[in-house]
Amino acid sequence: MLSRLRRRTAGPRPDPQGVNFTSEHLTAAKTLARRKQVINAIWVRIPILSLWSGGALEDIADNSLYFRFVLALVGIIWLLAIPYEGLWKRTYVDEHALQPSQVTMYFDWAEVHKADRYLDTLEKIVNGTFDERTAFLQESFSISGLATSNTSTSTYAHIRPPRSKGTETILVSANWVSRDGTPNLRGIATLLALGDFLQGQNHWASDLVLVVGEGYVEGLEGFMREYHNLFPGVIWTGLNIDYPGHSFSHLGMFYEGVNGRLPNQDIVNAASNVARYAGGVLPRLHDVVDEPPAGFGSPLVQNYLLGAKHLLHHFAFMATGRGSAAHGVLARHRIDALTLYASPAEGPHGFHTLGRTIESTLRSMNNLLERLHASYFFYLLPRPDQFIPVGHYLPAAVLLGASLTIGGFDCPSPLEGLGYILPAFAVAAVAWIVGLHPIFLAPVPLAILPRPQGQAHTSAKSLTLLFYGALIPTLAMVNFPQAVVLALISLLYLTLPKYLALAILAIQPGLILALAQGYWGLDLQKDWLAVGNLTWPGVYAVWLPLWMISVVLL
Amino acid sequence: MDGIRIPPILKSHAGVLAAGTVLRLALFITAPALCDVLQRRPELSTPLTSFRSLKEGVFIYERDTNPYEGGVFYHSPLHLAFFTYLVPISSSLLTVFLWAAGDILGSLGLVNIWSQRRRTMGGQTDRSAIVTALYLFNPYTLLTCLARSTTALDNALLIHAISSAASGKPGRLLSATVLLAISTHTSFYPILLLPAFAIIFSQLRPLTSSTTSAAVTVSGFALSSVGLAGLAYGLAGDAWVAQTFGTIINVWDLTPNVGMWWYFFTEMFDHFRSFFLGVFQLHHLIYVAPLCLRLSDDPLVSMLVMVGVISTWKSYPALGDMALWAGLLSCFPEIVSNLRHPLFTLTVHLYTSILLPLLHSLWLLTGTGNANFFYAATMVYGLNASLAVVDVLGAGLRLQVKRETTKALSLLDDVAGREPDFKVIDEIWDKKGWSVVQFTGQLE
Repeated sequence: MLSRLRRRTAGPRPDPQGVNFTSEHLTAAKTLARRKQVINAIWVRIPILSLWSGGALEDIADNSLYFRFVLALVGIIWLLAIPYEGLWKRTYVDEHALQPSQVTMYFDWAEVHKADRYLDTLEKIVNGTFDERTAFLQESFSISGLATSNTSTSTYAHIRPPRSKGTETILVSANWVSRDGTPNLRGIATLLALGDFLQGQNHWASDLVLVVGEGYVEGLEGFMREYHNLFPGVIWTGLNIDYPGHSFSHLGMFYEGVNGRLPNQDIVNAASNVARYAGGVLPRLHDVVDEPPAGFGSPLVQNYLLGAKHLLHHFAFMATGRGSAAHGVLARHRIDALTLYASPAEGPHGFHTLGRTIESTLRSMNNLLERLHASYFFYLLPRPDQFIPVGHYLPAAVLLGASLTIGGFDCPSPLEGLGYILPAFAVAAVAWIVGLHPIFLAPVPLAILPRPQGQAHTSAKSLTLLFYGALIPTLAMVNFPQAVVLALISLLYLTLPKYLALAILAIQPGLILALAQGYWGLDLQKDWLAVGNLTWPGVYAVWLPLWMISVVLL
Repeated sequence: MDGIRIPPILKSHAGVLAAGTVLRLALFITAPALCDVLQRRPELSTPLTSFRSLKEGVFIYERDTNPYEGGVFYHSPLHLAFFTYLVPISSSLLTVFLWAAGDILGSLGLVNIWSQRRRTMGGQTDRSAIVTALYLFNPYTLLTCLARSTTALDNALLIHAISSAASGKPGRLLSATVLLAISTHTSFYPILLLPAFAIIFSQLRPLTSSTTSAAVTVSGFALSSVGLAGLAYGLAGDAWVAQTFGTIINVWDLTPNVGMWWYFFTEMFDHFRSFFLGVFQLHHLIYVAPLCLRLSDDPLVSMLVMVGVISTWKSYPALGDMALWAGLLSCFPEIVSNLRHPLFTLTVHLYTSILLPLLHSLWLLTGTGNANFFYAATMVYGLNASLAVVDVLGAGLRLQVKRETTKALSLLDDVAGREPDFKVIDEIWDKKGWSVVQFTGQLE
């Protein structure tokens, strides 16, 4: 319609000598010219390489609208805005069947007394051999009337309530070593008392399996690998008990699983609700004190800092792909699980509170008629009763990824560029196969890899930007913190001015990993072998090639 | 190329072929675990092309039971007989060589198609090495081969059918129609290429009239198809018709794949099913006549577009089908250079090749997603492929206009009977700043 109106005033008469024969030719030519101008105007403003690599500041002044820069900037601002309350929502229990804190609890002082008696013996055998420990555990379970046995690294007992069909199972575990490295004796005592208490109750619809694992996660992981040879039931939900001190003040919810797999948010919400209203103890996320820091005036700033503190703990677990506590290994088996961590304190809570909280939480899990699916699987928790839905945080990673991708659209010769990129991936693959630590790859980019020039340089750089630009938003769907870390690394490596990038690239990934291992005991290789944490292969498949390519492209 | 020194031998056609073969054999032999994983990927093989289901069918067939009566075997009886009597499927060494050979033959067929195009398009440099490399080292081709999906073999067949048709010799009519019939027998949708085949042979100026050669093509195809059906009947009775063609047409098996169908027909209410089945199947058919008419002066381009449509919209597509289309596209450098958004298409392919396995695992492995996740990825994949088909068709039409205008305005001095190089034409248009537009009105 518009084009028809426009055509009516189409300007000069057609020129029979030129190519523009008719008035329609003229209008089409005008439209095309206009479109070309718009596209060129946009294209010029997408800096082909990066913000500073052109070097000259006047270039930046000329093309004031740098799409890539703006995208990255907005992405980083969004990232920094995540701890701001405006993006949060209040948590709620979505799955109605859970009905948290709606049951009469029967765990009482008699059970607490039993737990104390178990604890007496546990304290004696804590330094004994596996055989001694499993003998005591099996004897205790047997006396309670449970079927019990052991694997090479764990002891387990099976509760078969009269009304359970045995098709679904709830797993409850306590390991000998707590997440803070001390013996988890009270956790195991609670588990033993729980076995004695649950046996014979007739209101359960699921089987329950109680597991005491050796070490921190090794025993539980070993048990999970053998689970299907031992039991028929499918485990939907799990609860891991970690009670290292003699009393506790708060219950910490540790929810991150291996490889960034989070349990359904309903599990966290239901357990928090139960702890608060049935157990009478305040829940925490991890072991983070949920009190605004003093001395920052405005409550807005205080809440921001408090949210950031919670999220940083979360990011530390997720970015390295580790589970935050022993329940993390259950995530690989599609089990929605949580660790209840009794924060050591002088009081006021003990076996009574913990037992009642566990009983009520298990009753909620027992109510489920299908797997947890209603609530969110992708979320951030900035405070115990607040969450950030995926739509509110994912755009940060998408924007960062898009800023890289757009930079990659200037690719004169993709095949030639590929020839410079693939060697880096091949070198990393060889290093992985022969088991070479990343630090030994330090001389590779200077010694072996070819350095592209001219058009090949542009193409290789564009392909790198395209590849990592595609990886970041997709990774963000599975593990947002890891994607953010990758995005920041890519931006630092690929878009900074030459000498700044050189300084950053000088810190080789292997060096960073070795330092992390030295300072924080972060052993990704061991994690990969023990519980299948994919971050270690990811280092070889993603980070090392990126580092090598960036060095070559400098 | 300053930095990398690829030995010239590897840049030659034979070198690329050898490298592709060695890579395949090496991966088959050194990484059997990888091949096992790939065999289970829904992106690479559908129930109709899966190696594992073929193995099961052969096993049942060898024990004198008709696998088609069991209801879960969808391969063509030709596959069944071939892998029972000629290449025993239980021998992994033979199948390794067969699948490697399939890709090599496919790439040779593509080189044939390209050299035929070169003859009609005029003055282009030798691209046989690059055509081969683009086919053999395309990850989609390589992974489909490693997964031993029968898509890889069907692709080789169809490529050779097209290459016979493209050869421009009336004598190749028989091989073209027979190969097309076999291809149709194993994967059905190539039947949509028959009109383009008929047009090609009718334009060859044989001794007889064009109508006769078209009729001969169609009847050759029909006779071969009947012959193949008879052979299949002898091998497996008549239960195979419903199990192979019936499943392709009626979409009874709803195992997820990269296509648009499985989710749609899972969600469909039963009383709407036949209606939408008709709509989805006719959707392929409606393109045939317009494409053949509009591109009748270059039927190979219409075939290219049609293969793109089929690869995207067939009822059980896999990534291997896209590999076939990408391979064909590399034989048309003049179209590739006229594409509007090739890099965008490639980037979205990069995204979807990360997204498809990722969202599939979120749905079925970690259980944190659901079927919508994977379907979203397949929709991105399908949309991207559809846009690419539109882009290719547009490029083909633009090229036609450019070529004719260049000729009509005598912009080239030395045309002298030969078709000018497309690069020269593109350069002229670039220099003049001209664009090709579609007019609504009539030229005076």
